[in-house]
Amino acid sequence: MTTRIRVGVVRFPGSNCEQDVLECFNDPEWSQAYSVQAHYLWHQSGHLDPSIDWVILPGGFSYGDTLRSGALASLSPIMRAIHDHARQGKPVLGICNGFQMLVESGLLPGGDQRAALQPNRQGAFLCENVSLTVENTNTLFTQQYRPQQVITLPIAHAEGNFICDNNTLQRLEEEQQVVFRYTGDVNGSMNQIAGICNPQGNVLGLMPHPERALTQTATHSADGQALFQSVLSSLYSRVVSLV
Amino acid sequence: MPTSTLEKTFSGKSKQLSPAEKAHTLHVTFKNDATAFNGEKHAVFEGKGALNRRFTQQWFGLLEEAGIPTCWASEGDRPETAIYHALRMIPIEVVVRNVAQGSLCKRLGLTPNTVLSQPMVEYFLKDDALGDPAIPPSAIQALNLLPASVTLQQLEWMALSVNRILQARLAAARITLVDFKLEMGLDYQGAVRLGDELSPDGCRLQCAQTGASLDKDVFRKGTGHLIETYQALANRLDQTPWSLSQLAPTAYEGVVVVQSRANILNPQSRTLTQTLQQTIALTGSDQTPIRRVDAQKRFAVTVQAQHHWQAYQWLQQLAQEPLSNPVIEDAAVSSITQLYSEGTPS
Repeated sequence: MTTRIRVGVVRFPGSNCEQDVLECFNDPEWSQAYSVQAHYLWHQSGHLDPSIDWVILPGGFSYGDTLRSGALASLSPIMRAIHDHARQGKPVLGICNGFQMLVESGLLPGGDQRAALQPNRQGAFLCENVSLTVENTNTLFTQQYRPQQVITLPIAHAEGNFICDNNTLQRLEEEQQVVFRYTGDVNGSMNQIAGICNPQGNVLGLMPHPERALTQTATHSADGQALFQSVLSSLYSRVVSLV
Repeated sequence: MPTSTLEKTFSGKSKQLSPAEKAHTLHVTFKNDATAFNGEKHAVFEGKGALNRRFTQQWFGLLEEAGIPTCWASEGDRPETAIYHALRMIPIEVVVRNVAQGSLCKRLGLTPNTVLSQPMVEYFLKDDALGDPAIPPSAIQALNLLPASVTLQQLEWMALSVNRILQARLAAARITLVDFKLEMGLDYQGAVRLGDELSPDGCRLQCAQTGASLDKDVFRKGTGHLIETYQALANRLDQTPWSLSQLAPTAYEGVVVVQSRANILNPQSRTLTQTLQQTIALTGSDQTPIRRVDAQKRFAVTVQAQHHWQAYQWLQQLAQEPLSNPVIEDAAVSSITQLYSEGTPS
């Protein structure tokens, strides 16, 4: 099988969800249908191989959440290469701690705007399935969802409380950068924001774990599948059209 | 926005100022007049203005190179003129002393020429009628003499930085920097800069070997000729070139304090406040005197820097990125301390 799509899953000291993400791409149906191969990328590498199509920042406790969750990871050597990758319009996905890294690095919300993921309103670590609305199905990551589809994904975080200034919040809503929204108040996030993308729509960050909702057996939800398939089918059709 | 309100020529004791062509600049003429004892003693010396312009140009130039902002913009058309950035002056003289001389000895009963264990910084209110009296920091705060954007700490760090640089430069010419006076002000963008001038008029300089005065004291005490003294000083400095690279960095510990912005709901602080209010009995009654507990972060950052002001710039940068996330936190540099005392700088 010729590999047509390469996915890079970045590992930081303290990452603990990278294996789950890598495993997604070992699904026999997907690797068959999309000719996809996933690799680990070590955070210290200042260079991202140009053959990497899609970069994923997984969940965990990078740097033990020292300073602020994702703050030190956002300064790792590989992040500069990821900024370049994003600038070229290539997909970047940040899950949970990965979302925190994208926010700390400024890749999200993007456009010189800043945000933060604060401790949950309850002051507690939340580990549960939550209900989300897919607000924007025009992105690379959400094409295979139905507009306003209500899905279930698991969350597992203590710092997922999304905050930004009012101007930024207005921009996010107006520009349709809010991609996933909790259907109720889960952790105190402004406007119940669960996941956002950058203005160009190629960088997505979300607190819930789509890689833990691929089959109904583990978390009683397979709603994470459509996210991965949206990206894979989009990348596959690009590659195929070039051949 | 602080700007100079100078509309026409202002003539002080040592300099004449008038608005220059470019916005926010002043045309400065260094006068040949020398005064002492609040104007009681007065003489005119041909060439004094040009000499002091030259000293100011060289020393402000050195400080600018070291990253300390000054009012110096450029030379003027004549040897005694210059163009300055217009400043709204802070009415305080900042004096740094390395060796006890003059009024300090009388005030505190010290033997003249006692070397201080570390530089001391003193403040004097600029007021001719009152004779520029000493003013303590708490009075400066209580009388709101500083613009809101400036702290006395910043003025102190700036003054100690000037001291370290000037002391090293003069030591290369075997000259002791006994003490000196600085004035500061805000430019039109609100940034603090050194103002006035830097010349032997406002410093006490002593030959390290003979103890001879190389400053305006020769005029004040009538012990020498001002122009000869100033010219000899200039020659001596020209013969002993010195560059900033010769100033060895030393260790400074800066402290950055990061706290939640006032209007941000901080679940940790809220939890901490409520728990302490409800569970810790400080008084005999049920009423808790605790209003708020805010968990803050304190980072002690040690840097190798050439002077306080350089350490301060770096710490400010770190405070903004990455030590705080400005969306939810405020960060400030709360102190900068030189860690190792030193003798004469090399």
